[in-house]
Amino acid sequence: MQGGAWLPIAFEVVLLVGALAVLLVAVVAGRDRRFWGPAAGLAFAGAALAGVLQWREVSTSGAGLFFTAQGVSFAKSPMVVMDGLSAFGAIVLGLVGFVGFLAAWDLVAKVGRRGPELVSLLLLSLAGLHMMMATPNLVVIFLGLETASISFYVVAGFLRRQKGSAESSFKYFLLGSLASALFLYGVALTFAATGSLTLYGGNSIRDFFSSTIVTQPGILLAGMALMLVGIAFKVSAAPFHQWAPDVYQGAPTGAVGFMAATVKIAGFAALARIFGAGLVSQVDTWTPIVAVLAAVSMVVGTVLALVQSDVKRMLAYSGVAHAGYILTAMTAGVAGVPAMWFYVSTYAFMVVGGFAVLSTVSGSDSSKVPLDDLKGLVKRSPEMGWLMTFVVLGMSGMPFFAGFVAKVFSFVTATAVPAPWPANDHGYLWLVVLGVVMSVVGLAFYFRIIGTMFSTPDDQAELQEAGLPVRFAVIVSAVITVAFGIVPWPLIEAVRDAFPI
Amino acid sequence: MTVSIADWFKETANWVFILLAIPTLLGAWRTVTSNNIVRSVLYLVVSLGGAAAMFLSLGAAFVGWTVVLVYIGAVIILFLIGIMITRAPLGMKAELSHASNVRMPAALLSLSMFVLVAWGLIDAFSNTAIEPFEPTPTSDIANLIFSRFVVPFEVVSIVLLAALIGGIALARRDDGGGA
Repeated sequence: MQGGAWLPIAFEVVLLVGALAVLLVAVVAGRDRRFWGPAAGLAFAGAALAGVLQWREVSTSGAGLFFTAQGVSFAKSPMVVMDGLSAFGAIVLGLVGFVGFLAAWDLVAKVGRRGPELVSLLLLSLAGLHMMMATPNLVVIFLGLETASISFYVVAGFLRRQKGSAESSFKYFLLGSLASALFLYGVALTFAATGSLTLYGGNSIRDFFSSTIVTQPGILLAGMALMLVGIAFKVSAAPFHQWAPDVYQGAPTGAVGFMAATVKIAGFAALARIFGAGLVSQVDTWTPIVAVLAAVSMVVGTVLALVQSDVKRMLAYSGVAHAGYILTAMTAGVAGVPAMWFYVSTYAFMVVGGFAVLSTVSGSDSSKVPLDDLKGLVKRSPEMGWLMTFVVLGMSGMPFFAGFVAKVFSFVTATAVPAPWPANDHGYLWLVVLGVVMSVVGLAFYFRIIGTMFSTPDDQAELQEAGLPVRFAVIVSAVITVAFGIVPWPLIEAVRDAFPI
Repeated sequence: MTVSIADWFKETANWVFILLAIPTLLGAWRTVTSNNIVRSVLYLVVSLGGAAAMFLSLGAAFVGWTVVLVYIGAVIILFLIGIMITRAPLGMKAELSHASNVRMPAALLSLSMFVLVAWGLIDAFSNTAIEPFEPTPTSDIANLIFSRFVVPFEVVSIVLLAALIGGIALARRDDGGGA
């Protein structure tokens, strides 16, 4: 195999080395961000590159299961998997991580001497998030989840002297720990029901279902439900979304985009891995539940976003709605993975770009971003104003923006596969109708943001010029939002191969 | 096979069990009844040590040493640090007493827990003697951790690294600058 045995874990290794390098350079050369910043940037870019290499390897020599040690048959308990899902996820996570890091550059300056710790936590969290989608072992998925969660609890509370930041961190910690515990309990019950912690490979959950007919599925159902709740919490799908607005609002604006975007990518990829690939035989059991989650998320997210006066909370509720649209794609089972990838990979850039703009408007270390802060943005800073307009239009799902293609792709997917409940051949048509209605309702608050940006500024000071990395991050996000809205075919082609094995 | 009480006392291992069980129980009793919180914690050490020794005498060396390392080593230290940094009453004269409205539910809870566990054990094994089995040597566990489970093991170390960095970042005092 080209690249040697390291390629399947190259993404994690690059990020881990990067995190340690950042800390070491900060100790040896000094805590000025100019010294260790390039190391962090290289690590994010290198991680994306590792994803590209994995993608090439998968498309030439096929997917594989890895990591059983010498002397032990590797196929017996694979711990690492390299397939379309994990390789595509590595590319997306690497790129979003890189852009998110650039967007946090001004925040890094504000936290002063603690910058290296902030960035090394971002690096470690990204490694954990990829671990969630690159392993067939449920325990390793949990460990990856915990790596990311612990890092994000700290990042949310990084501005210790701000009341909002501490509150955000503590809320995230308490509720997040509960969700992690629920997920772990689900893993334990699934293990009790199937006798395996491995989704596939030798002696796996998939093997168990191919050779066993479950007559008393109580424990299995409880296990699946708890795992689903854990993941739904992490991707902030309603009714497990309550943490998101408070955490988004309190966390430092410069880092919220990174946190919100990457955790959604990994959460949905893990959902595809566990339920789409591992529990594929139980698909009729879990897709109706996912459909209900999707419906609740779309309605709750959209309706509550309408009444917010803080842009960060608004985007948080909009994120709940978007989780609903992505879950809509997943109601098709494993066939929904391409639509899921298209949606989550374009939406991630919109989130990073949107919060990057907010951090230039209200300050990267701000907690609250009232809608009035955006007043007259297009006049005060045409560059930021127009880019934010593109990003928000992308989120709203306007034609010629990536969000539109993503929604259509998701809706088409949901109706392509026959649905088990209510049994019919048109899939989850009711969910799609609801999704279209909610998209239209959602336009109200997206256009409220845009309208505010185009209104006349009331003698507010000239907008402070954002740093070059932050501007670059916003430009990249906006370009991706527009480019994949007009020319979506390359990405659609790519995600068709981004399947779990 | 069933065992009579007279036979039970002929077995040396059972005397070892009693020697271990009595301090364990006494430690647990004094943990709850002691009026001094530091003493309570130290009695808990006795109780946990008895439990660890019981695991060792059963041949479960790994579990035994885990109890010693994790519970006696880490958790007790955590308790002591917790007592130290909060404003818990300390010293010889500090009195801890609970109102009877707390004692009764606590006693009931412990009693029902005891009944539940005892009923479960008796229901499952009744008077059957369990055949001694070959204990798993700790080296087997070590071999597994560094072969089959080396990836989870390494990921755990990343989790701990993240927690460590996070703890330092949140707790360290800034010398000027920063928020």
